[in-house]
Amino acid sequence: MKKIIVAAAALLTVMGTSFTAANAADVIVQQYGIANGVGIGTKGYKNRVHTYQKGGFNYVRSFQGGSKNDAVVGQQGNWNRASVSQGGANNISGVAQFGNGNRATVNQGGTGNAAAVIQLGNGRDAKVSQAGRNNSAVVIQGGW
Amino acid sequence: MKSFAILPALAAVAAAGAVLMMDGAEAGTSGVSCEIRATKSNAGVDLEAVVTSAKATTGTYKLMVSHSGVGGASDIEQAGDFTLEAGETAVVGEASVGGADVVRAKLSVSTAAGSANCRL
Repeated sequence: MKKIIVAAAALLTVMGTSFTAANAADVIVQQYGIANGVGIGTKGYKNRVHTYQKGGFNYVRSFQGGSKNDAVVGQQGNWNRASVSQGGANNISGVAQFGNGNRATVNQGGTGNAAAVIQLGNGRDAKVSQAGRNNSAVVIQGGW
Repeated sequence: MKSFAILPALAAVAAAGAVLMMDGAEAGTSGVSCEIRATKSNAGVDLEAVVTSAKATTGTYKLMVSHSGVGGASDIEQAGDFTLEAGETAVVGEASVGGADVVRAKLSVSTAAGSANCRL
């Protein structure tokens, strides 16, 4: 299995970073500090894209084609924004946003997809769109 | 490697239990009826989009859920097709919302024989 791990230290600006990967790849991106921003695209199946951002102007755009993929976005602090798109079937996505700007958009096509969004604190706005059969969605918002 | 301890909270979302049932149902004129089953959980409200048909049929559904409150606002939209045997009832979509003061849901069902709508 291919694994791509990118960790950006605090105060390092990583605007517009992008990655692409094929089947059964792990893409893990961690960004800490100032002007975070990442776009990730994968094709094929069983790809995992995990993005963690703490502090800064957070932004994640994740696209996965194919099936049985999973996408996780964690954002803590500052101007959070997350957009996750998954095509195909049996995909899973999770977005957790804690504090400040918050905004999450999840689009899933195909069947048997699951999406969860948790937003605690500040701006909060979530939109989940799912097409196909046997999809499920969870949105939880609260906090301060 | 640092990671966010907050992320396991995502897994807890699916663990909320059901304690109270509230239904919004409507029968269509075509033998197809729909229902939105709402179950209050510890985290909020769990919704099921349910379709029943007297005859074997195929059709499409669209479930729209919106919630708003002090904690924020969200929209969930699910759409797709379904196939039912005669007399069959099926859950075609599921959605859960937590931290909501107001939850609104609408289910629209369309088949060759007719349509049905229901709201919560």
